[in-house]
This record gives sequence, structure tokens and C-alpha cells, in this order.
Amino acid sequence: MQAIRNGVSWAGFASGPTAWAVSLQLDYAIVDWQCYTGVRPTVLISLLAALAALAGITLSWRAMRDASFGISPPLQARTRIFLAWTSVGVGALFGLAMLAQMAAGLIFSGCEQ
Amino acid sequence: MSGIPRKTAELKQHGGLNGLRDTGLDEAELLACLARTWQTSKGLYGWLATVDHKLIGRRYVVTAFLFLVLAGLSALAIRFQLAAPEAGRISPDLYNQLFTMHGTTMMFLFAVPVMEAFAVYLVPLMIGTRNVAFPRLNAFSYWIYVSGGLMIWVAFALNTGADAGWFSYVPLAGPDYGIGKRPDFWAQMVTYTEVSALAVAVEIIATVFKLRTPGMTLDRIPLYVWSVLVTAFVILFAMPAVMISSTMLILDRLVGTKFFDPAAGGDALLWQHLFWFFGHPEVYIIFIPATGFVSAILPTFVRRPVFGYLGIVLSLIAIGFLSFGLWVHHMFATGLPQLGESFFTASSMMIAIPSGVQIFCWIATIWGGKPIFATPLLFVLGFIFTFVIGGLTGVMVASVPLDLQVHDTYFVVAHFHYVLVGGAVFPLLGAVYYWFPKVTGRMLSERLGHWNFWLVFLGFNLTFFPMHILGLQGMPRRVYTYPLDSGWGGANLFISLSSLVLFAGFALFFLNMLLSLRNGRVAGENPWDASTLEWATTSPPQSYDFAHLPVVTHREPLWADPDTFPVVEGLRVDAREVLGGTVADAVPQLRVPSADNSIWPLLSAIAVGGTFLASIYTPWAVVWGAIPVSIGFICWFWPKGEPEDEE
Repeated sequence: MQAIRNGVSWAGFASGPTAWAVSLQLDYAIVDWQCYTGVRPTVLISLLAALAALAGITLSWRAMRDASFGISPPLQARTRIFLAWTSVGVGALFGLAMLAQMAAGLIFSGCEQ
Repeated sequence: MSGIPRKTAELKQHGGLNGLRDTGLDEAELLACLARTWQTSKGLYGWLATVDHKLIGRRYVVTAFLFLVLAGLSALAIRFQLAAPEAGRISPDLYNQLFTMHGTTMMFLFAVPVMEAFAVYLVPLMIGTRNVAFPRLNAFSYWIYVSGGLMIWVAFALNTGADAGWFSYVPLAGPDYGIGKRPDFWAQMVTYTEVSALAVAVEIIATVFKLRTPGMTLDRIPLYVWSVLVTAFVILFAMPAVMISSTMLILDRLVGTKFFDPAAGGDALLWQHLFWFFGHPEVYIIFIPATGFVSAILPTFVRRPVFGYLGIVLSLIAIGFLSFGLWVHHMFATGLPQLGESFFTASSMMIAIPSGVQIFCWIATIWGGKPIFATPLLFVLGFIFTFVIGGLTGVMVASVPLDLQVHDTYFVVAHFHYVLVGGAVFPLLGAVYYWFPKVTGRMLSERLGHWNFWLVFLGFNLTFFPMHILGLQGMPRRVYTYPLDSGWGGANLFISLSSLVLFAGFALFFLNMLLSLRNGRVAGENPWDASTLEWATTSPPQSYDFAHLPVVTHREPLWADPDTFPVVEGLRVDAREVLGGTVADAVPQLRVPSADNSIWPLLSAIAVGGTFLASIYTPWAVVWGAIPVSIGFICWFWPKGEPEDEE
């Protein structure tokens, strides 16, 4: 709870790339299955992953705005803000990458060779 | 009894702090003591046993440039053959070996090692410590690297040179089509060089995270150090893929496994997936440190701090991660589902964003500064020009329809040379001009440097730009000749002649170094009036790097406080010791013993290298080789009663 209130400086840094790596692998692995069944889970997976990145970005943003030292890690304020800004940027870029993946899922059915 | 041993004896007698410290010694005593503690012994044994990061970094650089010469000569031979249609100057078999050795050497034996070599030399100096973490591992990595390189080039000299391309695709390299032991030498060379690269990556990560001087918080780390830190992580996660795949290839060929044999339930595309999962990050392993060179050189020659430090760090990290999600764009022509390919197109397009952020930050830095057009800056400007072209064609080939049209044509050859030579070699040459004074104590000739730049810049663009057009006209890659009526003869002749200009540029580069080593102007500590810590010590640096470890209070420490530095006190001077600190804030935590010189890294490397080599011929080599390898490692780590073994 305290983490949600005060933020976590490195959250976007962890959530963005992790969500992207997981969604890319999952999306790529289920293309054939998507073609076979006709449903489009890749869109949903990419969207959920983008939301996970967004959650991390939000936590990092809060850590940046928090005037106290937050909960973790116990860093100098300047280092924490630097880490939080980096996290927001990295998280945002990967969020964008996942939205682009989602767009691909909206265009292709998975059966096109 | 002379002063220093006497003081040590007094301390022990009175039960004082363990060992002699740098407090209470006058400057001459301190320097003498440090020199004795950190010295490399004279003679052959000292040369072989040293763990000094500067000596190892220097020999890494020299070796990598020797491999560059070999790869460059291979390229010249290729251009000699292609200068005219239907030429028979080089046989198809030799041609296959030449282009494979060219690519293999450039990627595995030159580009990656030379980037790591610079890191090995520079990182401890830039972060204010006295050696890398795990110095003996550093020495071991060099010996493994050089033995792998020698092995594959000796094999080439014996007509057993790798001939299936630098990516050694199966089934061409598999048991059915691979000629003799050629693919095995390639696969085992990969193992050597990757072991070496992984070792350096581990050292760099530990060094940057734990050995930064007090005050060097995350947001004060020099951008070059950030770049090699990100690169080290990319190496750590990318290289195992190719080590595993090359081992599987050897197993298919030597033991009869069927990993890549579709007829037996294997999968030929598995090779491509594994190889490119490494192969695409490999491009960034080469490119990211080069951007670090740019970020180091640029502020010095435009006389202002780099614009957008945060944006550049963010971009480096993002590129490092994204580089792992692009590999399928090398496989667009293999018939994968279009939706699957589109995911990788998305990531390939996205990587243009952080790359663009870096470019704009550098342009803004130049815009807001007062450029001094010395040779290092010329190479940086040349880099920006060529890399932007390479980046644009990269975005083009990230698009599936266009990639299918130009796949395996000279368009792709042009694209990746613009990215790799423009993106990495130009900054590397700039880096040599920039840090040569620090490494040797002598300045390179600026007059020859300007000639060098223009010859390389013009020679490069004249050689590789026409390849875009040849590719669009349909000329395929990796063909030893082409028909008379193809209409490609004129462009190929032009390219071959232009490659001589490029060759002349590199010849001048080496000549400049040789002449300047003897006759160059004496450099002094900080000839460029640069801002980072490596310029705070002598040129060349002493074996101990810094008499006192500096304390950092600013991102550009030498510009913020050029005359006086707060320094660290309390380190031992009668034994090798460095200061360990926290990862984020570099708050000192403990004094860490640093390993002394040792012959065991070399002996262990001989045992490991011999095992690798023998395993090309028999799988039993792995079993029997384990004995000398184990002996080597046990002796390496066996406590010898030296200060580094003390609790």
C-alpha cells in the first residue's frame, strides 16, 4: 500500500520491458492458434501488457513527485528522481511498442502467410 | 630497513590497522609504495602474468586492430574479384571462405572485442578506481579471445576456413553440406570469443556497479560508462544463445544429434531463431559503446556538457532492451506468418525513437556549443551523417514488403555497412584520436588525422552508397561473380576503386599511430581540457591509476573543479585494494582486495582453449580436457597466503 501511495522509482523501468518481453513472446507464439480458432487474443495480451507498463509508469511518476524518501530503494533524492524519470521514459516507450503490436493484431488475422 | 617496510612492521607490532595506509605518508613515499604494489614485473613472465587493466586493454585493442587488418585485406580481395564481371581471379571456394572470414572476423574478432577493450582500459579510469573487478578473469578473457582468433585464421591458412557465411546457416553448415571441418572451426571460434566476451561483461557490470568512486551517483556516471554498462548486460543475455546454437551445430556434425535436421524431427529455422536472437543484439553490442564514444568526445570539442543526459541514458537502456525484440526481422523471407512478423516490425520501428533521441541530443549539444573541428569531432560528425543514412535504410528494411524485395541483395550489404562502419567504426576512429594521448602520452598528428578522416569518409561513402543502387537493381549478395550482360560491371568497378581510397584512409590511420608513437607531441595530463576523470591522472596512467582516488561532486568533475579535488584516504598501499560502494549512490561500503598478477589465467586459458580445439575432432576431448581445466582453475583460486586472501 505504501508503495502505491509513495511510488517506486524503478517500477516503470521493470514493468515496461518485462511486459513487452512477455507480450512479444506470447503474441508471437499464439499466432498459429489465433488463425486456427478465429479469436484474437494477441490484441488483448498487448493491451493488458501496455496497461501493466502504465501501472509501473504511474508508480515511478509518484516516486518522482514524493517529497519524502518513499519506501524503496533508500536513495539520495537526486538519484531517486533520476531513476524515476528514466523509468517513466523507458516504461512509456515500451508501452508505445505494445500498442503498435496491438495495432498489428487488429489488422492481421494471423492466417496471412 | 627502508621507510615503507619499517612503517608496515611498526604497524603490525603495535596492532594497528591491517596494512600500511595512504594516510601519513609523504607524496614520494606514497607513490613509491603504490608503484611497487601495483607494478607489472619486467620480462616475459611479467608480460604474461599481468592483470593490469590498462596493459590488457591495450593488447586487446592492438590484437583487435590486427584482426581488422586481416578482415580488411579479405574485403579488398573480394572487391578485386568483383571489379569485373565473370572474373576468375579468385575461385568460388576461396571466395566463400573470404567473405565468411571477413564477416566473422569483423563481427566476432574485431568489433565486439575492440569495444570491450576500450571499456577494459577506460572504465576504471573514468569511474575513479584502480582496476576492474575480477582482474584475473580479465586476463583470462584476453588469452581465450586471442587463441580463438588465431585458431580460425590458422585454419583458413590451411584451407579449412569457414565458408558458410558469418551466420553459418544450416543446412549449408550442417553435416550434409558443410565441407570438412570448416563449420566446426567457425562454431568453436564462436565459443572462444563468447566466453571471452561474457567474462568481460561480468567484470564491467561489477566494476561499474560496485567500484565507482564516492560521489559518482547514477546520474553522474559518464555517458560512455553508461553505454558499456548497457552493452555488458546485452552481452550477458545475447551471447549464450549463439554459444548454445553453435554447440548444437557441432553436436549435429560430430555426434550425430538432429537439432537442425527436419527429416529427423529437428528444425532448420531453429538455427536462425537462436542465431539472430544473438545476432541482432550483436549489432547493438557494437553500436551502443560507439554512441558512448560520441557522448564522450562531443562535449570536449564543443566546450559544453552534453545536452539531455537523462534522455541519452534512457535511450541507451531502451535500445538495450529493444534490441532483443528485433531478431525476426532478419527472417522475414522465411515464410513466417505476417502477423508474427508485424510484431517485430513494430519493435524495429520503435527502436528508431531512442536512436533519434540520441541523435537530436548530440545535434543540440553541437548547436549550443562552440565546435573545435579537431579530428575526433570530424569522425563524430561523419558518424552522424552516415549513421542517419544507415538508420533510414534500417527503417526501410524493417518493413516486410520492402525487405522481401531487397532481401539478400547488395542493398542490405550497403545498409549494414552504413550502420556498422558509420555507426561504430567512425566513432571508434574518433575515440582512438581522442584517447591516444592518454594511453601513450603522445598526440596523434592532426594534419594526418584530417587526411585520414576525409579519405575514410569519402572512401566509405563512395564504396558503399552505390551498393544501395546495385541492390535495388537486383544484384545478390555472396555471389563470386555476375554475368557480363547484367549491367552491374561499371558500378562494381567504381566500388572496387573506391575501396582503395578507403584502404588508403586506414593505412594513413595506422601510419599516423606508428609515427606519433615515436615523434608525437607530448600530451600532458589533459591535452583536450576534457571533463572526465581519466584526464585527472598522468598520460599514460601509472599502474595504480590514481595516487589518491578522487571524490566526485559534479557530472563534469574536471570542469567543475579543475584545480582541487577532494580525495579518498585510508586505502592500503602495501597490498592491492580498491573501494567498493553502493550501486545507486556510490556510498563507500568496504575496502576490497584486488587480485595480484598471476600466470594461472594464461595456463587456464591454454587448458580451456586446448579442450575447445580438440573437441572439434572428438567429443571425448570435453571429458579429458576437464582434467587440465580443473587443475588450472583450482590452482588459480587456491589461497596463496597473499594479502588478497586475507579476511
